[in-house]
Amino acid sequence: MCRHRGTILPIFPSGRGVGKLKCLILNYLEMETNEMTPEQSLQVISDAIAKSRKDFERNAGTPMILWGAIVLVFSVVIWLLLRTTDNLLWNFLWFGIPLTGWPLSHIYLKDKEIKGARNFVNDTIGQIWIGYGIFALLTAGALSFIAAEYIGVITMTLLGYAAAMTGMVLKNRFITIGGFITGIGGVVALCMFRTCDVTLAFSVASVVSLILPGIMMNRNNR
Amino acid sequence: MFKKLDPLLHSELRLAVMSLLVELEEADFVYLRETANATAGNLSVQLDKLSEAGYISVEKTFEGKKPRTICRITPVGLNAFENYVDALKSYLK
Repeated sequence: MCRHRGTILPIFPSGRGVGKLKCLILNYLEMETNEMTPEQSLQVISDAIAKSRKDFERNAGTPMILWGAIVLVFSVVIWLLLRTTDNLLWNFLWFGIPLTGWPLSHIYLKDKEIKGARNFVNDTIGQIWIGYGIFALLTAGALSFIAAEYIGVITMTLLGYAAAMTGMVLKNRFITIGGFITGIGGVVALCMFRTCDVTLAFSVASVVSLILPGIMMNRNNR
Repeated sequence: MFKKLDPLLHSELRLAVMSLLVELEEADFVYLRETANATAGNLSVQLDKLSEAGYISVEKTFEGKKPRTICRITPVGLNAFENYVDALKSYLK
């Protein structure tokens, strides 16, 4: 049976044969394939899901590498400045991470985003990192008036939490372990604050929880 | 005993579209066309069918000046898809 939906509009000045042609076109377009075997149906389902996953996974590690590199550069620079000058005001440079990272990621990652589709896993991970950004900024903002030297430790612990959550959502053991190492490292650094160089620990954390997992993800998904 | 396969889903393109929408939160017409490797006309007809059955919701918006058609799976569609996969399993046992 052919139903005329008005979606196809063949132009015939006489109007003759239009209905029949519509039927033929619609029948062709509908391309009923009821003779698919169950195996073929399963293949269609798994192919579609695999293709979509591959699209989303292709550059999934790139944001982690980008943000990890920014954190690494800032933490090393802050560590060097604190070490050479003993001036705690250099801790305010931590705010340079979001100020540099957001515009850079907006410019650099825009072309790498999947256009036209949203995936629940990617949305969740995005929200985890937005949450991290907000809490890290709030904590750093509050601490800068009370105890600026603790900014690194607290944001490192939060970084570990966000990375571990990302790993758990992605079911990626490497990212999860990296996140836990970072988070626990932050807590340990907080306890041993006088003897531990937290800023340098933060640069190690950026490598363990962001850069290495990002590189591994991109390599696995190539 | 074989379960009956939903005829609406037992079509290559409609099944591919539904599988994509099960995986995705939402997808627009262009993404579906490219990923399912379909023609615009064919996809349009199949989306109409799925939408009429209440399996997907179709939202027409604008991105700047360009029209954009966003598709999402509905709870009815998700349920139908799950039943279809269950039915498929009965054939493969």
